[in-house]
Amino acid sequence: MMQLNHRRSVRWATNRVAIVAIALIGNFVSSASACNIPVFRYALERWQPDNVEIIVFGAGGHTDASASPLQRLQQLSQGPNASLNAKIVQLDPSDSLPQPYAGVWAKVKDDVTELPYVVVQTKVGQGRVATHLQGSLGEIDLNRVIESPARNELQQRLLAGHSIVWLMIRSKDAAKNALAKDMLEKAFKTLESEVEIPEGVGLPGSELYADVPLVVRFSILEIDPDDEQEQFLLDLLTGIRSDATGQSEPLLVPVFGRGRALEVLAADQTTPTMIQELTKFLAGACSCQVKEQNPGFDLMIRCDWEGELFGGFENRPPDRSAEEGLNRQPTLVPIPPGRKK
Amino acid sequence: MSALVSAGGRMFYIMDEGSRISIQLPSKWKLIARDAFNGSVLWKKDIATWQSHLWPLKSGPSQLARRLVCTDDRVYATLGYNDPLVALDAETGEVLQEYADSDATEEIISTGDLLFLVVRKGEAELQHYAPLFGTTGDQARSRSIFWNEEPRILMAFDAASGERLWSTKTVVSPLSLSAKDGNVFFHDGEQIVCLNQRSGERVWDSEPVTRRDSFTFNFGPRLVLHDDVVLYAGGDGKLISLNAKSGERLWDADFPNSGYQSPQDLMVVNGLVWLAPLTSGKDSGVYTGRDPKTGEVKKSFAPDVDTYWFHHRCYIAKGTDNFLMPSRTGIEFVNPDQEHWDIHHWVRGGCLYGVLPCNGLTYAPPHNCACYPEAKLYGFNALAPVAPTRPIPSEVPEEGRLYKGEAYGTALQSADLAAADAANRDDWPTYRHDSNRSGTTGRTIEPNLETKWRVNFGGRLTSPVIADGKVYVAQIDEHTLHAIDENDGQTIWSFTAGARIDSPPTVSRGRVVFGCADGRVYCLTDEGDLIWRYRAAPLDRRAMAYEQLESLWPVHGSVLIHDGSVYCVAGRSIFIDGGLRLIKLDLSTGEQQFERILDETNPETGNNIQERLQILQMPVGLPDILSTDGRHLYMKSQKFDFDGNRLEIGPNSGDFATQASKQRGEDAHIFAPMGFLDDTWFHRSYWVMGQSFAGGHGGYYQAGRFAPSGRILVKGNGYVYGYGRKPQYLRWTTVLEHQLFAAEQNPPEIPEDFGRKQGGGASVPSASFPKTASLNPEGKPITVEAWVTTVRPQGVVIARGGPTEGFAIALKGGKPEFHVRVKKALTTITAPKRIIGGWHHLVGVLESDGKMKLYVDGERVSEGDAGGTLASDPAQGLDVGADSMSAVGDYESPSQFAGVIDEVRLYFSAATDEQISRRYETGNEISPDAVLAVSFDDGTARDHSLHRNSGTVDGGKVVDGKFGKGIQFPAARNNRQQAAGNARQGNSLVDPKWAKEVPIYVRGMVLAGNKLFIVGPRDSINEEETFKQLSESDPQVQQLLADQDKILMGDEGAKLLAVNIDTGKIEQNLPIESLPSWDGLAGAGGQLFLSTTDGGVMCFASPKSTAEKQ
Repeated sequence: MMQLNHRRSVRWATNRVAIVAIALIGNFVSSASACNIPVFRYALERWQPDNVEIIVFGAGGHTDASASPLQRLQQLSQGPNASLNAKIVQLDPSDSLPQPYAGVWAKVKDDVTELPYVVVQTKVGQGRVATHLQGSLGEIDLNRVIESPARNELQQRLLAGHSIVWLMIRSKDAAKNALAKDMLEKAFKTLESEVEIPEGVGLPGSELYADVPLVVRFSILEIDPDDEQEQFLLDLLTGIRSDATGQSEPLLVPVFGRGRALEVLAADQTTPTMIQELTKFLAGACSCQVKEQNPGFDLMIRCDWEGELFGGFENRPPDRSAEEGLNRQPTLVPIPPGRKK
Repeated sequence: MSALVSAGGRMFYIMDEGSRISIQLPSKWKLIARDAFNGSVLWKKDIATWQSHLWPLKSGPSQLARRLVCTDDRVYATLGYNDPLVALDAETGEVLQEYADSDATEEIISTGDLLFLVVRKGEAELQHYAPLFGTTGDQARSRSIFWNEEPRILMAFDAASGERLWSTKTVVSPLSLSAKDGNVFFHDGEQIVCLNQRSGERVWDSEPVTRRDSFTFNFGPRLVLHDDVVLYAGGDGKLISLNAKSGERLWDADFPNSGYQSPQDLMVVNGLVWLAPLTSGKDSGVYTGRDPKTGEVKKSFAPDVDTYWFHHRCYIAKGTDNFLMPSRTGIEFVNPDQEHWDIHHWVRGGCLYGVLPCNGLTYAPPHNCACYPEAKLYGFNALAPVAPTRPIPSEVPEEGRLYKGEAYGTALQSADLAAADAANRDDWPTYRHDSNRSGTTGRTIEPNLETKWRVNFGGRLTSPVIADGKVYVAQIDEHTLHAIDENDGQTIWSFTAGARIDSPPTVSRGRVVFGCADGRVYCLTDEGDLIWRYRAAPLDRRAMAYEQLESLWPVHGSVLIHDGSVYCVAGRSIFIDGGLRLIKLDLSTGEQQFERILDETNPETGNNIQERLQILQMPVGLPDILSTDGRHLYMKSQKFDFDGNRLEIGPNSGDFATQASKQRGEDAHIFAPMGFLDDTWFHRSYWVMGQSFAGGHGGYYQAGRFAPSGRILVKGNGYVYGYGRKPQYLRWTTVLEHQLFAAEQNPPEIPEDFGRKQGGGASVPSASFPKTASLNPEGKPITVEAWVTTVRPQGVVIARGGPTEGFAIALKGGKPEFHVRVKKALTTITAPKRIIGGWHHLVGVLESDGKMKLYVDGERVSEGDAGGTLASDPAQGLDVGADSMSAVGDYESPSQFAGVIDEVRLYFSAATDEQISRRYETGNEISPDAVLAVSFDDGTARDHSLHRNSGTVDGGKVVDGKFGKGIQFPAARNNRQQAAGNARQGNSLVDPKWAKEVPIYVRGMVLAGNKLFIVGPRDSINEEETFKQLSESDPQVQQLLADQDKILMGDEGAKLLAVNIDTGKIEQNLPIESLPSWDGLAGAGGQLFLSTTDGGVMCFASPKSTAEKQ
C-alpha cells in the first residue's frame, strides 16, 4: 500500500469504488517514531469499544420479571471492569426529555403500546446512529441482546489472536454463499503469506502489552440469517446493508480489535483486491491511533477485555495518547473502500 | 553450624561467622568455646579453610558434625578442611598436640583414652566444589553428588600421647564408625565390621547387610551400639540387629523414614529402640519402642496433639533419658512414659546439626528457617524448663515497681506548646523521627553537606535523636545515655542505667524516656535528672544475654509516647518466662495505667496460642519497638487498640500468598518482621510498608510482591522510599542485587487473578528438559531450531548451559541471537531484523569447526566463529521459553520469553542451508536423527525423538501453534513497568515511581524535603558477575569478594549520598571515614546526625545552615 503525501484519505464505496475523502483531523506521528503496531492489534489492546445505547422509556413502571435482565445489563455495563459495552439510559417519557432522547421518543412513541419501551442504538460511524431494536421490555429477550453464540465465538477468536474474523451472513442462495466463502479463503491463503507484521513492533511507543499472539491469521464465522439467537446482531448488520439483503447476497463483515466491524460488504460487490487492501490496512502500522478517526463501528460484545488481555483494568496499557505524536506532521494513508456516506 | 558438643560445663561449636549481607562474601569459620551455662565466649579459634559455605542448604555434609569431639578438658577437632586432628585445651583453646598423618580427618570417635579416626588423606572429598546455579542454589545438583565409597584410613591413637596404635585401609560408610567395650564397629559398604580397639585386628565380619544404593552427602547409614547389640539401618527401610560379640544377626524390622534431607533417626532410650515415621507431615508419627535384643514391640503410641506437622526439620532428632526430641515442626518433647507430645513450634534447631539437649538445657543453635518469622526465636538459645521453685507471677503488685527520682514532681511541659516548639525547631525527638517511624524530617536539609563536628564515645551506639538543641545517643553496652550539644558535640550530661540501652530515648514535653535491658523504663528531665523509674519486668530476675546480665524481660530503649502516656513492651517472647508485657505508664508520674500479658494463651479461647497457627504462619510472638499511626498501636504486624487489646490476631491464612497479601489500607505501616534493630540483613527478612508478613520457604518473599518493602524504608511526601532487593531477587537466590526506589505508600491493589494464572511463584513459565547422556553436546556440531511468535523484544527461546559452556537462541531488542559459549568465552551472532509478531522460524547451527550460523525464516542471516564445539557437557539442563538457571548469553537469567514456541528440535549435526530452507518452506524435518523433537501438540513437552528426552511444561498454555499446537509462555503482567524496560519487576505488584541502583549498601536513610539522604559502605561487586566467577572457580573472584567484605567491615568508611526524590538522581556524594550504625542517620534543624559503628557521632550541615545557626 502506497503511503500518500502526509495526508490521510478515506475512501468509502458501495457498488463502485467511489472515493470520498475524509480529512482526518489531528496530528499523527511520523515514521521516525510512528506506532508500528498493526491496526487490528492496536485496536485490540487500546481502543475502548463504543457503548451501544439501550434507552428504556418508562423504566419506573416495569415489572419484577422484566427488571431482572435489565439489572443484569446494568451490572455488566457499569464500573471500570464493565464486561459489556452498553449504556443504559432510563427515561420517563412523561418528563421533559433531553436531546437527543426527545427526538428518539418522538420517532417511536406512536409504536409504543406498553411501557417500559426499549430502543437500542448503535453508532455506525461517521457520526451516524442506527436504531436496530425497539419494542416493549416485556417482549424483548434482553439476554439475547447481551450475548449470542456468534458474538461469544467472535470474542474468543479475537482473544486467541485472529487478526480479522470475517462474519458471513449467509444468504438463501447456497451457491452464492459457497462462492463468497471460497473467495475469502483464497484471499486468506495469499494474505497470510504476503502480509508482514511491521518490523518496529516492540520499539518504544509500539510496545505490546497483551500476551495474545501477534500473528497474521484470518477466519470466517458464518451466521444463519434465520438464527433467532443472532437476531440482535443480524438486525444491525442487515439494516446497514438492507440493499444487499434484499438482493439475497451474503454479507461480509470484517471484524477486528474488540469487535470493531470495519464495514458491511455485500459479497457480490467485494473483490479479492478489496479484501487485500482492506486487510493490508488493518495489518499495517496503526499510524492513526485515535479510534474515532478510523473507520468502523463497534459491536456489542460481552467481554471483560482488560481482564482477559492484561489481567485487570488497573494493569491496562498506559494512556499516552495525550502526549504521543504532538508537534509532528500528519501521516496520510489510503483507507479501503466502504459505504457511501 | 557444622558441629556442637558440650562437656565439663563448656560448649564448643564450629560455625561460619561470615557476613550475612551476601552469601558470596568470604566465610569466617571458627571453633568457638562458650560457657555452657551462661553462654559467655571463652575463646575462638579461626579455621582458615572448611567446607564451602556455598554448598547448598539441606545437603549436609552430615559428616562435619563428627569432626568435633570434647571431653572435660580437651577438644578434638580439625582446624582446617584438610587439616589433621589436633587436641586443644578446653579452657584456653591452646593446641596441645597434633595427631600425625591424620590430614583430612573426616570423623572422630573418642572413648576417652583412645581416638579412632576416619581419615581421607590429602584433601576432603568436596574440596573443589563450586556452585553452578545463581538462582535457587545447587540443592538439586547436590542430590546427584554421592559419597565416593573409596577406602579411607581408619586410624587409632592414644589420645594423651598421640601415639598411633594402628591404622588400616578400608571403606568406612559415613557416620557408621562406633566404639564400645574394647571394639570399634563400622559399615564397610557391604557388611558390618568389628575390630579390636587396641590392635585393629578383625574380631568379626557380619553377613552382607542391605543399604541404600548410594549415599548423598546429607545422608549416612546409622549404626548404634547398645549393650551387646549392634543396630544398623542403611537407609533402605530396613533395621538390622546384630550380636555385638559375634556379628550374628538377631532380628530385622522395617525402618520408617525419619529426618528430612538428613540422616535418619535411630535411638535407644531407656532400654528401648525408638522408631517413628516422621519425615513427612502426613506421616503418622507413631513411635514404637522395641526390645533391642529381640525386636519385640514393647510400646507404641501416636502423637496426642492436633497440630500442623511440617516435614521434619533438616536434621536428626535427639533423645534424652526422659524425652525423645524430634523436630517435625519446631522442637517436640515426646515423653514415652506418659505417651505425650509437647509441641514448641516457635523454636527449632540449626540446619544440619539440630538441637543439643545437654546439661539439663536444650540448646537451639542459630537457624536460617523462614517459618513463623514474627514468633520464632532467633540466635543461639539455651532453654530450660520453668523451675517450680521460682514461678513467675501473673499478677504483679505495683509496690516496688515505681521508683521516684530526685526530680520527681518536675512539671510536664504543655503538650501543645512542646509540640509547637518541636516543630519549630524541626526536632527528631524519637526513634525514626516520629511515632509512625517515618524517618522523615519536618523540614528540608540543604545539600552541599560537610562534616560539622564529630565526637567519639566508643563502643556500639544507638541511632541519635535530637530535641531542643541536644543530641541523645546511648552507648549500648555501657548502659549509658549521653546528651550532647547539637552545635558542637560537647557532652552536656550522661546517665548510666542498669543494663543495655539498645535504642535511643523518646523526648517529649521536656522528658527523656527510655527502656532498658534491666527491665525498667527510665524518665529523666532534659537535664539528665531522674524523675521516675518503673520496673516493667514482673521481677528483677536476670540471665546472661549476649554476654551481659539482662532482665528476663528487657525493654527496648525506644518507647512510644502518645497522648501523655508511655507505651512499652517487656519480655523476649510470648512463649517464655510468662510472655510479654505491654505496659502503659503515665508520662508525668510513671504510674501504671495498664499492663497486658501477651503469653502463650490464646485470648479468645484460653488454649495454647499455637492452636492458631496455620501451616507456617503464627501470631506475632516476639517484641519490637512500638509505633502508632494515631489510630492503633503496632508491634511488628500486630495491631492493638490503645487499651492494649490485640486486634485481628494473625495469621490471616495458611496460604503463603494470601497471608502476605493483606497489605493495602489505612492500617498499612512500616514494620520490620524480624525487628527494627536487626542489622544482620538475614536473607529472608526485610521491612514492609503494609500489614502482614508470611513465613515459610514459600512465604518470606511474598510480602514484597504485595507491598513496598526493603532493607530500610522511610515515608513522606506521599510516597515510601526504600532500599531493597530488586523484585527478581525477592525470593532468595545465591545472587542478590538491590535498588533504591520510590513507591506509593498504600500497597497496590491486587488483581483478581494475580499470582494464580502463572502459579503464584516467582518462577517463570518455561519447558525444561533434564540433562541426559543423549543430550550431551560435548564436542559435537549442533543444530537447534524452533518456530516462534513473540510479543516482547527480549526472551530466551531455547537455552542449554551456563557461564562455562552452552548454547542458546534468544531475542534481544526484538532481534534473534544465537549464543555459543565454549570454555567460558561467549560468541553471539545477531540477525539484522526485528521479528516481534508473526511466526518465525529460527535455527542456530554450530559446525564441527566452531563456525556459527543463524537462520531466520529459512535464510542465513548471520555468521560467526565460536572457536570450536562445546568442551564439556553443561551442568544445566535445556530450557525452552526461559533460561532458568545461569545464563548462557549476555542476558539476565531467566530472561522470560513471551509468546508461543512450537516445533523445537535439537540435532547433533550441522544442518545445511538447503535443509533449513526446505524445512522452512515445506515443513520437512531437517533430519530424522534429532536428539530432541518436541511438537507440544498434546500440550506436553514429550520428546518424539528416539531418545525420549521428555521434559515438563511449567506455567505455559496450550494454544494454536505454527503446526498443530504450541505452548504460549505468558509475560508477567505489569505493564507500566514493562514499558519502562524493567520486565522482571513483574514478580511484584509494587510499581515504583522510580528505581535506581546506588553505589552503596544503604544502612541509614532520611527523607528531608525533596532529598533522600542515604549512607552506607560502597557496593563494589556485581553479584551476578561474581557468582559467575565463583561458578567457574575463578581465583580472582576471591579477591573481589574479600575486598567487598573489608569495605563492609569499614576499611574505607562510607558514603553519604543526597538523592533527588523526583528523579532518583544522586546530587551529592560525601565520603565519610566511618561506617554508619544500622539505621543510624537522623535529621533535625537542617542538619544530619549519624552514629557510627566505631563509636562516633557525626553532624553534617551545609555551610549555609551552619552560618544561619551561628
